[in-house]
Amino acid sequence: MTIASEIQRIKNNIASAYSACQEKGAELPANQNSANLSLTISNITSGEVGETSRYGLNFDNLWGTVDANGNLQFPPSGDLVANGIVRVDDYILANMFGGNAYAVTKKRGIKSIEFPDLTHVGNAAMYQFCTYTTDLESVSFPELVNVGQCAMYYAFRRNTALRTASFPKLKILSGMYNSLTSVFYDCPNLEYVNLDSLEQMTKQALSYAFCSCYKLKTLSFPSLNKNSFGNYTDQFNNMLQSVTGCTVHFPIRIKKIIENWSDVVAGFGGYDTIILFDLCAATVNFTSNSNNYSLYVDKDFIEDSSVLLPAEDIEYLAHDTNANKVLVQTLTNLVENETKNEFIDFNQNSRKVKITTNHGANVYFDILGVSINAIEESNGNFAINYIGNNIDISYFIDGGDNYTDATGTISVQNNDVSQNITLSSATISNFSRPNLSANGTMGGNSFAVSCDSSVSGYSAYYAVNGSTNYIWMVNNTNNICKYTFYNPLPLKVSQIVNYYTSTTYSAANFIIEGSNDNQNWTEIGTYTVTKTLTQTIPVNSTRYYKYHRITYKNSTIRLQDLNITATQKG
Amino acid sequence: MEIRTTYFGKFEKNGKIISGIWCGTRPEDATITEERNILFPEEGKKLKHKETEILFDTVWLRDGM
Repeated sequence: MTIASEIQRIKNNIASAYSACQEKGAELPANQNSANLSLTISNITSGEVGETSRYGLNFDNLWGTVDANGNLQFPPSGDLVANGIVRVDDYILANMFGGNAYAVTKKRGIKSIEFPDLTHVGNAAMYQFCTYTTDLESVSFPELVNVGQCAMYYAFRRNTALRTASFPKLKILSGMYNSLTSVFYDCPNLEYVNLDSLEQMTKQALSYAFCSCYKLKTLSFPSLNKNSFGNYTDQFNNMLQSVTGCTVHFPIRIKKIIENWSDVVAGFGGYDTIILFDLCAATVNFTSNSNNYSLYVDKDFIEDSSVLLPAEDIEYLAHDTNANKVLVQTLTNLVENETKNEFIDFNQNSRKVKITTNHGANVYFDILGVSINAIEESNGNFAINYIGNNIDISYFIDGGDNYTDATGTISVQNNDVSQNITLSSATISNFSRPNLSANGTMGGNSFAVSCDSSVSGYSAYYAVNGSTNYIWMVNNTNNICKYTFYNPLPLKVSQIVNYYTSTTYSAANFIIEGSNDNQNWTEIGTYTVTKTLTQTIPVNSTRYYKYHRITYKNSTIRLQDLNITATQKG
Repeated sequence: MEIRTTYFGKFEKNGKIISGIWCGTRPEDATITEERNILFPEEGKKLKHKETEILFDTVWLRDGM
């Protein structure tokens, strides 16, 4: 070691110190010597961002500044930009800024929050993330695709200055439940929310999400579809509680799925909520060279010649009863917000679909869920003239009182098609309901029952065991329950009598359906009957079925006995 | 508790016939196809069935109920 080498070593250390100061954002003097080093270090102020402030905030934003008298001031509000964070796993950011805060709302030093690279938020990862602030104005998650269970539960609760919330690619609300529950609870100035890509929602995914967001006047969910909801119907529970006058836009393709949900009918808990099924829709104007036809789309009878339909390929059925012609075609190239003119041409070449039977009284074809009565063209020959798509058509032959019924499928391709069906003699007799000691086997050799819901120990067969000491009991939160009975010889049911333990545990509204395979159901009727202990439902079915399913529109049922008046054919 | 009426119907806008549900106030320019009376609890509370004690957010009041 020499004096020269020692001097060089000290010079190198001083140079390194100045480099470190520069990295911290310091302004370097012209003469970078040891004398100026301490002053350079002391001039480094907190709040200078430099390259070391990864996410855009510094300690002044979070802690606050100190005035000349040593008083701690509210923090200046900065922008949190969480660059480079792609995934946040379970619980990591929970309660990060504010948490529960015991309802103390104040400046927290954050004006905007952006996670530019974030794609996934794990279970409860952002629970109560940034709450009870007076300075947060916007939140943005431009690449976020998936949030898990309770992932953003109360995430941005009570941010009084919050105006916009953007999740343009958020597609999946996963986990078991509550992904965005109460996410913007009590944000009174929130006006704009982007959930344009939302496709999948689990249980209570958006419950209370916008509660008390008084300035929120519009919401849109253009990406929801028939597969968005799984087995749940409570995704929007109280989503707009205490909000007045919000209009919620849904795609027309989900109208039939959600329009009778209790949360939808109740306006999501808000006041004067308007729900419109106007997204992803095209207008179709139908005309025809027939003056007398019926039009059906997705089993629904269409009254108007101009109708709003989902902007996707869709089949329709047109039936000219006078000409005995049925047309099935596909609407294609439907473009959202555009109009298409569709001409229904009954003059196209048709194929004859014929059922020949020895004794049939009536023959019905089921085409796209629409029942079409075939015309008897000659003795025992029932036919329709079919135009359009190749298709499988179900048929039902009513054998009347003296012959069996028949069901089956006929494949309609490019040519005329016919089937010969021989009906067997049958006798009609009064049905006497057996008493069961167990539910039995559906589709088996004897009378059997089943249900979709029952209290443990109060099975379905207790309503048909011949004793009023036992009951079929239901206690659920579904608002309905279903009871099915099966008989190997098909039944034509004229009447059902319910014997309840109490009118409290009864129903007033029913749907009764029939089936011959326990899979494809035909509605026999809907009924409204006064609640009494002994309640008679006048079913008056016109067809024989092996299976009957009763939907009781109530959550609580206690049924002592189910009496069935019917004839059987065998 | 209060009873509010929900209206189902349709209206025309820019040549399109749009289906909608109006919760609370009857729309002036729509054709109404159905009305339902809905019972709401006091804010922040739920409806409790007297006998079964099951809780409901709302109840649809129908004939016979």
